[in-house]
Amino acid sequence: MLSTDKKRELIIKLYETGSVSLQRANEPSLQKAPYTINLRLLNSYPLILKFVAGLFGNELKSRMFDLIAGPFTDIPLATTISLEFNWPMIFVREERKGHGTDKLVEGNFQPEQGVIVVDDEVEDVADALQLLGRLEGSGLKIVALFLLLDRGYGSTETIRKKGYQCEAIITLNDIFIELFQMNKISPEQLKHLTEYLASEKKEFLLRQRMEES
Amino acid sequence: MLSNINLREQLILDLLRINAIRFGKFKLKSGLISPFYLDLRLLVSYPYLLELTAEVFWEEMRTLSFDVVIGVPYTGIPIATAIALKHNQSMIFIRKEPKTYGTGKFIEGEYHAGQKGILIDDVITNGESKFESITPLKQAQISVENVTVLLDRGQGGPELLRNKGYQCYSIFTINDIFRTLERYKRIDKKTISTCLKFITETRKEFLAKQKSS
Repeated sequence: MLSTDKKRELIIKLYETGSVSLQRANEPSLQKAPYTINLRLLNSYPLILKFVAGLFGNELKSRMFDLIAGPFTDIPLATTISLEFNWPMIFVREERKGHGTDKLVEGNFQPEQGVIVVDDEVEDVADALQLLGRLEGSGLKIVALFLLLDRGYGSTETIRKKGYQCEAIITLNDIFIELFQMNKISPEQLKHLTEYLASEKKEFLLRQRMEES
Repeated sequence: MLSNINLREQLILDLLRINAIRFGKFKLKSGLISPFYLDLRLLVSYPYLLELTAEVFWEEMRTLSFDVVIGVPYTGIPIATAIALKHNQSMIFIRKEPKTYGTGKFIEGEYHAGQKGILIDDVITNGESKFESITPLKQAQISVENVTVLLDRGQGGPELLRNKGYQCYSIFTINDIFRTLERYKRIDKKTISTCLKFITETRKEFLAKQKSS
């Protein structure tokens, strides 16, 4: 579990780097969401990357696994965790190369090894499942999918329903509540954000149900 | 007795040990049979070796002028990350395929127009693929003055880049690798002469092809 201090420190860092940014109170709404999230910005701040890797390490070091794996876009995060904790890493290619025999998973690994996949967040459930499938297709066992952020729309639940362990260090709701407690947002803003989250979740579940039926 | 082996030589011997350099018969994309094979992607599974690689890069880069370290997919990204972490440098990376949704395009991370970047990659062959990274950077108004790679395969890559006005540094040539392996008695004379013959022949063919096109 993340301590309150570490959680607050993480939220301040996400907010200050603009990785999570909120629409100002009186700004006319040009986009649908009252917030924008771009966790890839963290890659450009080595000290923050190390801090985030430390949070992952704390959660992961008591678990049994052989390798950590990063999807293409999270190679910097996976690399940082690997270097900070001396865990071997592999990565999954973004696409299949032109010629057929090439591997989708790069690095040194053996069949049956246990893998923890680290990712900043699940933007698309189908992409995440494809990634896990590629690792399994290479003979590896998925121990868990570990995320920095769960937006709380329902993607982690969907992945869990497919039989994978999936956890996140922080939720979007955690961030909003913490920002409210730090007086960064007003009660009205918090209400608006929470309502927006609830509507996104409803929409996500509806889409999911339609896809399943 | 203390060995006075330098970091570069150490890295070459370690690359052989982890099978990133192999000798035998390997069919290449072109259909040719090569007497050696290099897979530098294996580096990511050996955290200390990735750190050693970053150090070897840093020796080469430390006197150059740049604002941001740029990782080229795939192996350039973990190398750039390791450099950024160790020396507290700002880092961005290039995508193999631009995202079709969300915030990112070709470049991930925090950057600003007018910044000077240094491109980091594992290998340079004929150099053409480096422009797939340089072009989107130029569009984002990041100027690339330097390209630094671990290995020059001897197919004219650095010459092409220099002709187009970029500085290009390679840490090893393929011949450096063979010479070091010979000096430390890791491979025999016969293997070396087979490899050198193969390189000379493919380079001749390559230059002939370039002339005719």
